[in-house]
Formats: sequence, structure tokens, C-alpha cells
Amino acid sequence: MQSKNYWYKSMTTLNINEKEYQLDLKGHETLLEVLRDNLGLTGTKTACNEAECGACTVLVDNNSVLSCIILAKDVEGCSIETIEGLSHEEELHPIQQAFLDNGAVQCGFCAPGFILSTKALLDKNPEPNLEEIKKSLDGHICRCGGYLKIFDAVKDASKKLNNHDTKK
Amino acid sequence: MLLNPFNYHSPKTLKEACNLLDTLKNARILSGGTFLVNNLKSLKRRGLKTPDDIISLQKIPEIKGIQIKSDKIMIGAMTTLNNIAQDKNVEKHYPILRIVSENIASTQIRNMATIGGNVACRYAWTEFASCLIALEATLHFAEKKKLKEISAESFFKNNAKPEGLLTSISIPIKKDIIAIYKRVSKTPGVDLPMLTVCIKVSLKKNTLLDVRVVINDGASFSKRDVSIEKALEGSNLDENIEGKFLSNLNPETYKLDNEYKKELLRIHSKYAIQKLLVQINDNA
Amino acid sequence: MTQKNNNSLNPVGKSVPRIDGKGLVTGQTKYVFDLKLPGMLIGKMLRSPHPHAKIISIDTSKAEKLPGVKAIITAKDTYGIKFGSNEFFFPQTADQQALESDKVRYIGDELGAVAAIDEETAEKALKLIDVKYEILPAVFDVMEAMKPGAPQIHSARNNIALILPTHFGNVEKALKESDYVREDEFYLPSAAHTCMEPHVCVGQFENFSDKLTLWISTQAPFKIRETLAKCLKMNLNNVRVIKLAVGGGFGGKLEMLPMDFASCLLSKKAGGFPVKITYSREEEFSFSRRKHPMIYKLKSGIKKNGTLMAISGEIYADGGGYCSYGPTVLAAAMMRIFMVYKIKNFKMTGYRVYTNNPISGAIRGFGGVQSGFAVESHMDMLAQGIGMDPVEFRLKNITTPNMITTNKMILTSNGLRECIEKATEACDWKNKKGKQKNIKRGLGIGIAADVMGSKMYKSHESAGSIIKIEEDASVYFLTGAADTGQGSNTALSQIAAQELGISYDRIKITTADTGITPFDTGSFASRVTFISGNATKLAALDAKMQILKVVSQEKNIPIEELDLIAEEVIHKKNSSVVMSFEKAVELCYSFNYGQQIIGRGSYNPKTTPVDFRTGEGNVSASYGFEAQIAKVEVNTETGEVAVLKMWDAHDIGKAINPQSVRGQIEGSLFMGIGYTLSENLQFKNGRVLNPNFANYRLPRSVNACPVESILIETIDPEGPFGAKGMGEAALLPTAAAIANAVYDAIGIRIKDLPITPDKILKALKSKES
Repeated sequence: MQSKNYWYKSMTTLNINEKEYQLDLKGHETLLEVLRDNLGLTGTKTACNEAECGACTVLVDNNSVLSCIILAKDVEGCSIETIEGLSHEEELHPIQQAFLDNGAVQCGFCAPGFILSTKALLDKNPEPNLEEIKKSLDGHICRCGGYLKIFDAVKDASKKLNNHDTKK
Repeated sequence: MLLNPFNYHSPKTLKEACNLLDTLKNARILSGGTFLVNNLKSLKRRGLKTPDDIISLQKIPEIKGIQIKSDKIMIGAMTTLNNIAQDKNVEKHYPILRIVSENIASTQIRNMATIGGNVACRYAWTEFASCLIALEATLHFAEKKKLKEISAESFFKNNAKPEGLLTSISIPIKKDIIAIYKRVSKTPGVDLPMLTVCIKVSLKKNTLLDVRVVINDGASFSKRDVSIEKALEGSNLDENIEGKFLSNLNPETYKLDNEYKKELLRIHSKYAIQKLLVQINDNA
Repeated sequence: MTQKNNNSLNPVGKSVPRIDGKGLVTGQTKYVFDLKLPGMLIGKMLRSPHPHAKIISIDTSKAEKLPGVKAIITAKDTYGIKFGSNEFFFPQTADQQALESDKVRYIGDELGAVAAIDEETAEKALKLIDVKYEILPAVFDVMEAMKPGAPQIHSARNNIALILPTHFGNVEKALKESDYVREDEFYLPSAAHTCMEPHVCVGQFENFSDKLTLWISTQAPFKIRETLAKCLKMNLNNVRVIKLAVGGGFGGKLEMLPMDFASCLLSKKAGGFPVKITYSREEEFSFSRRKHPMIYKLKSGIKKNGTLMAISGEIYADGGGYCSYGPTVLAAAMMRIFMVYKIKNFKMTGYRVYTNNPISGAIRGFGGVQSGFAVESHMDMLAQGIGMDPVEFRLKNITTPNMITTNKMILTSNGLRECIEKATEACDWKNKKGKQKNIKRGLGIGIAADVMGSKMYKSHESAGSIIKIEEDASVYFLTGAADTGQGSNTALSQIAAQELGISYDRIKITTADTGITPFDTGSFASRVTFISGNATKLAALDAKMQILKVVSQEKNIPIEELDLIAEEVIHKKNSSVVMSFEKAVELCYSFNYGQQIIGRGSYNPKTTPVDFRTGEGNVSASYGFEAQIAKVEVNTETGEVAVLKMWDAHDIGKAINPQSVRGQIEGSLFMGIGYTLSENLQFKNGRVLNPNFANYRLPRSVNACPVESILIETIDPEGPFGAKGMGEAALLPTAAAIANAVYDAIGIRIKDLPITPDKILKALKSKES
């Protein structure tokens, strides 16, 4: 009994995309490394490793954060969401669909980060204006596309989500 | 692995955290992680020594959150910048706190970075220093078994390094305070500040009182510009406030290494004092 | 079976969704960055800390003993073969070894590599390798490097890797006859590609199975294969280079880097285990490729009525330690002028110079970006000199459709005039230009031309496509074209579907795998829609004819009377439907016929490389054109320049996918704004000073200005469905458009990029005094 509790205590439990993962972590692992290397969730990308580009963005308790500077153990007990958690089986989330419909995805390396930040924004502010959209995405770099189509995608996603809600 | 191995500690109470800080010799404190983690990566890349222990403050509820008391605002050290920016009560009393919070770095950083980390990290250009000095804030530390207090101004003036843990920041609630903050980014958009100007006055019957002018030149800690404050203290709104301000501003007293930066200090100080006067006018 | 909607039929010209988009927005698509293979080792490069030194000895014995180290290679493990990306036409530019044996020529120059079980061990091993250098004097300034007595970097005299001298007409006479002559010097800094996915590759060399596979984030897998095969002395069919999804290229992933070679050789030495080498962001900035910094001198003369009489000048391009794509960059920096301006008297000499700085290579626009800023600023200043409106001046001197330029470029479709007219109309140029100085606002124009490919690499620059139609009428499309995010997978699939006459939704695409797909030169010089598009169209037509042949036989209708349009085989005579596409395929595979449908197409544009003796060469089978206008507002107290809006009118022939085209224009344009206002890769003594995003500032969402893009469709005679390539042009005139707008706003001319507030304030102050 005691040994089971001890084992359980030494494991780290992470709640990712509404699933629980038991991981044997030492403590110095960043959330980004755990996601990509331990769990094979490679949708979250490393593009700079200096908390500047936003490609490693995930949601923790509905806030957009940079997983390359988070210790995995620090987010035990929190609700973590990665890009893999957004779509359900065959269906794309309306934000993902909006990014596709509006040509907001080119090489795609920055897309997961942008899409999650958009989710965080629209959950708090369902009808943001352009300034609010720009500000909420200020932690991301897109080198291919130049942002304008991403703004269109966010506005479209807002419409899609509001329609979905009113239909309910 | 991005980081060198260390022992990770996650105390659940302030007392636990203080004990750990006492006993561990080569430990660093992890608050939001927006400074420390990149710093640890850099140390590893350069083959330099890294801490044996990291004490994370993420799971200590008593140092998170904002309380509005009758005479002061108490902000827990682990309160994130976005929590401060979005707090309606803070906005009601001191909109400047929102303005400072929401212009630092990026959205994600603001969701992670804490006011405590911003104050305690000892980088000269961090931005809360200016408005805390201007608003006459007090920093509260847990040092061993007792709590220690120090004014924000003393903390930054003396390069003080109290040995305790920063637990909260209190800002006295005063009436008729007008405070503005002007931030000059290194490059347009999201970037570190090159210099900042913060002005706070208490307005009583068209007279400027308790004037605080805090300037950060990006190279040294924020400090009060006493000559400008003296010149403005007690001035009436009828007078040439802008002129007084600018004629007492001496860019040479700051660590600005070229003419361009000195010119920027003059220009942005002008914008700052103009903004203050506009704000005073709007409030009237 | 397949979902069909209006857009899927006859998809050319429609903004259909990305064929590969779902995988991207869900994070499911794998990049080489994500690739993990069984037994995979981690590789790291051994680099020189010195900008210029002789390699005296390399002792790897200590490192070899470190537990976890599986292989170490240095030059002695290689054949010592030299290569250079432009070596086919310029053999002297084959100056780089995969691992240097005698000398190192820039900080970061590779002379070895280690493969180990993890990154930590590999880094420890590198530190244990003992290299003895004899440090040589180094030179970092391009003018200093050409002086006699400067440190000799290769064997090239005065460190000049090559010279492009061009001389047409009689410049001296024309200048004498000019009413207004001016001389200007421009300085163009270096810049970085900053692809979001860094350079990364996994090499697996199972030599006993005679199998070499390299997975790599690249724009040009066939180019990589060629160089790899050369350096390893292997046949092309023994080297397989595979591209997965790529997170951006922008010219930085167009050639073999030592890391690509090293991952393969390390794998061989380690017994065939795959070796992955990933660049950190710092390595990306410091040790991959950079933009050629240039000193661009111009002296031109015009008549009072605005006629351009002569253009002359010099270009000094800082090439860094090795040649890379230097010749192409230099050619582009000069030859583009002929695409936009009619000029008979032209004398320009370009120098591509070695220095001990990191290697300058190809980056979006090649030398056209540097040329764009210099020439378009200079043209504005010429116009101003005679009091002529800059737009009027351009219109007077631009090239026209169906003409041959002085340097023998054949311009067919040319929408440049329409681009200028539409752009100026959209921004209300007539009423706003020169009339907003009081509010410190201004408008500025820049024009540019795009090539579709450029025969500077080998004897041909062909593309090939294969279209297989499966038994269930689903379609498998194989093309060598490399989509690095610009949307070629989608555009080519649209072309295939349109030509074949089927729904776009039927197509599944596999690209850029040298073991499976036909050859394609790569994604650069805006060539893919045009060249690979034509190959695709031919393959689709071939497949269609194979189907129609069977139907013709079965139904006894002459094949010339049949066509396949929008999923139906049509009898053209009476517009009746003979059978559905699905039924036709079923027929092909039926008992009586048993006919597989495999369409193939190959297209090589009839072009000529730039002759470096004369400057002549029709480098492209078609040319795209563009006019861009910037509206700026300047704060004369702080020097800050805010770009309020950009207009871009672009002759793209035909937009295969308008949304994609606009996305590329916007991305290109923002890259241009970045280069103009904030990006500046800085060096000191051969070291990159700002190798991180914190100090190399890119435009972000909060910096984005509105862009109005106007697509001009001139329907090119040679392009697939009239389409031309695109992707680079929108970057070329941006800097000049902004600089010209700043001049319009406040009368200050900045001639060196980036245009930063301190330069504006300094210029304003000296104007005052």
C-alpha cells in the first residue's frame, strides 16, 4: 500500500486534452519537451526556444502560454490543451475551419500556436475588434503570410462560433 | 534536454517556501518563469554553473490574487500581469497599473509573468518599478518568521537585496491621483523598453501636489527625477507646467549613450507631461 | 464517393482550400523537425571558432572514447570533393567542401561532425575534439577584401569570386547628351530568412543495402541529391532525398549544407543508424545562409522630357566565405533592371567578393531586393530632378508587352503599365502625392518584375509530373515540385484537375521525393506554378488522352470529337454526355481493355542563362510584373515611420488560386517591410551580433498594416491556363516604395536600410542646419 502511494507520489500527473498522463519526470523537463518527446504530441512546435515566436503556445487553464519556458511539473493539476485536443475525431474545430477557409495557413509551422491563441481570445471575448485581435496575437511570428489572413480567420471563427451558439 | 538537471520543489505554503529558501544554498526561485527558464537555458548553453534546486511558487495560493482594502490595494507577488490588467477594481483606482501591465512583452508572457518576478528579478529595465515608485508602493517580504517591508523607492534606489521572499505589494489608495506612463519601445511594436517616463500627481484645487516623476533610461534602475519634482511641486494649473517640466529635465544625468536617445527622452517626456495635462483636463 | 461542390469542378481560378490544409491546422502533419526513427542518433557539427585559419590537426581520440558516441567524421572520411551551387556554369565557384580539410573561412565553418545517443553526449564529444589552428588574418569589409595585400581567402585574385561586367550601347555619350545626371550610392544590409522550421535533416546510410535516404526540410530535394551524390561519388538512383512538410524556405533551403552531408556519412560510420541534425535558432542565424549585403552605386542620365538615357553603376556584394548562389544573386541584382525599364545604354559591373563573414546565399528575391531599393529610389530622385511626377516618369520608360530587351530578354505578356495605373488609381495618387506634407504623410511607388525560374543551375530546369488514375477513379498525382508553404501542392492539383476534367477532390498528391517523383529543379525564382504547372498540365492531358482513347474505341467515336470536362466525357459535336468519368475509368480497367492510366509530362522552358561575359540572357520563359505603393506617416519628433497602407498591383498572368496568391503577396510584402524598417543582421569581426528573435526584429500582428492587392490577369501565352509564377516580386520594391513615401512626406532621403528613427532624426537635423 505504502509503496504504491510512494510510486504514485513520485509520478507527475498531467491533464492534457482532458486525458490524464502519468509521467516519470525528474523536474527539469519543460512542458514542450514532455509534449513532443515523451508523449509524441508534435503539433506543438519549437521554433526559437527563447519565448519569442509563439510556435510552442499551448493553453493552460484557458490561458495562452509558452510551453518552452514552462516546467512540466509546474502545470500538474492544471488543464492543458494542445492543438491535438481541438478537433474531435473527424470534425475540425470552427477555428481550424476558419483558418483553412480564409487562407490563413501557408507552411503551417506557426498555425497550431495561432489557432490556440485564437481559442483563448474567443473564449473570453467572443466578438473582438481588429485591435483586440492584433493585440492577442502579438506573441506570434508568421513569416510566410503576413498576418492579414489570420485576422480574417479570427473574425470568421468568431462568426462561426456565435452562429453555432445561437443555433443551440 | 533544454535544462540542466535540478531538484524541483513545489511548496504549498509560504512557510514551506521560506524554509526551503533558508536551507538550500544554490537555489533559485521560479515565479512566472519568463526570465528564469530562458536564463537557465542560456547558462547551460554556455557551459556555466546552474542552480541545484529550483523553488517554484506556483502552488502557493496565499501569494496570488488582488485584494482591495479600504486604504490600499494588495497584490500578491504571484499575480500575473494579465490578471492585473484585467482586474476591474484595480482599473477603477489606478488605470496606470493596467497600462503598464498590458504593454509588457506579449500576451502569452503576460499570462505567465508575475508582478513579483518583474520586481524581484533585478533587471534595470523592468517596468513595474517606475509606477510602484510613483504610487508610493510598499514591497512586503517574508524573511524567516517575520514580514519585512520596504518602500519600492528604497528597494530600487539602494539596489537592496532583502533575503526574504517577496510576498505582496501594497499600494496606498489616495484620492485625486492622476498618473500616466509613457513607454518607448526599442523597435515599433512588441519589444523591450528603451526608456520609460512615469508621472504621478495629486490634484487638489488645481494644484499639483505629491509630484513624482520616475524615469528609466534602460540601463539603470528607475529613479525619481528630484529636480523636476521640485519644480512642479505646488504648481498651479495656470502655470506653464510643460515648460517647467522640460526646462528641469537634464538628459545628461541619465545613462543615455547617444544624442538620439537623449532627444527621445526630451520628446517622450514632453508627450508624457502633455498626456498628464490632457488627463487632468478630461477628469475635470 | 468523393464530395463534390461547385468549387471542386473547374477549380482553376477558384480559392479552393489547401489540399494539405487539414493536417496543418490539426498539427497532425509531420515535418522533418518531428521525425523520429528507430535507433536514431543525434548529430552535431564541429565548427571553427575563427573567421580565418589553417587547420593544422584534428584529434578525435578523446571524443571517440566518450560513452554514447557512435561516430565522428572529419575531412579525412570524405573524398574532399568541392561543390558550389552555381558550379555548372561557373566551375570556379565550386569552392566548398562538405567538411573543410585545409582551411576554415568564417566563424562556424564546418570541419567535422559527431553522432551520439543524445544531444548532451554529442555536445560533450565536440568539446573533446582537439583542433589545432594556425590563425590567419581575416577581412570583413568588402572593399578592404578587394585591396591588394588583403588576406587571401580562396585562390581568387583580390578575393573577387566573380565579376559580371555588362556594357550595352554608349553610356558616356548618352550621359553627355542627358539634361540631368545624378549619382547615388546605396547600402543594403544583410538579413535572415527566419523560416519557422529551422534547418533539419535525418540521414540514413545503409551502405550494405546500398541505400542512402535523406529526409530533409528543403525547397530543392533534387539539388540536394545531386550535390550529395557528387560528394559521395554515388549514382543518383542510390541517393534518395525525401521532403516532408516544410516550415518555410525563402531561399535558405535551396542547397546542400554540410549538415546534410554529415548526417549521411555519420550514419554510414555508425552502422546504418539514422542520424538527425537540427539547427537551433542561434545556428540558423549564425551558420546557415544570409542575404548578400551590397554597396550599390548608380549614375544615370535623363532628358528634360523624362526619357531614360543611360544607367551605369557598380555593385559590390559581400559574399562571405564561400560562393553558394552568389552568381545568380549578382545577376538578379543587375538584370532585373532590363525587365522593367527600356534602356539601351547600360554599363554596370558587379563584383561578388569573398570575405571572412558567414556565407551569403539565396534569399527570396535573390539580388532583386537590393536592386529594387537602389534602382527605384534612384529613379524617383531622377524624376524629382526634373520636376516630374515619379509615376509619369515610370510610365514613360517602362517595358511593354512583346518586346526584346537590350540584354535579349523576351518579354511576352507584360502588365506593368496596368499595374502602375491600377495601383495609382486605388491610392488616389493624383490627389494625394506631394499634397500631405503638412500632416507628414506621403506616398511612394516602386515597381518590379518577377522571373519564372532561371537557368543558372544546370543545362535544364525542367519539371516532371505523373498522374496515375486508380481503379476506383481516385487520382494519384506525383510531382517533383516542393511546397514549402506557398501552396504549390494546391495550385498544381487545381491545374491537374482542370486539365484532366475532374473534381479537385479526387486528387491525392505526393511530392518532392527523388525516389518516387519525377525531377524538379526546386521551389525558387517563383518558378513552380509556371514550370511545374506546365509539366502537370501535360501529364494531365496525357492521362486524359489515354482515357479518351479507350472510350473512343469502345464507343466508336473519333478521339478528336471527345473531351473530358467536369467529370463527364463529352461528345463535342452534339455536347452530349457519353459517360461519367468514373464509368470511363471502369472501362479502362475492364476485362476488354485492362488499361492502366499513367499520364506523364515534362516541361523545360526555352531559356538561356545570363552570359557573364556579356550580360545577355533570356532567363525566363515569362515575366511577371508589379507596382507597389506605400502610404506612410512620419513623426518628425521621434523619427518613427508608420506604414499606414500598402497597395500592390501584380501581373500574375492568371491566379490559379486567388486566395493563395494574395496570401503570398501579403507575406512577401511584410518581409519587405521588415527589411525596410527593422530587420538588420549585424556582424562584428565575422560574428553575428543578433542571432535571436529578441534582437532581430520581425514584423508582428501589431505592426501589420492593411494591404490592398490588385490582381492583374494578362493571361500569359506560355503559362498553364495563362498563369505566371509569383512569390518574390512583392518583396522587391517595398523598401523603395517606403523610402520614396518618406521623401514625399518630409523631404528626407534615406539611402541605407533599415530606415530607423535615429536616421530620420539625424537627417532632419542636418537639413535644418
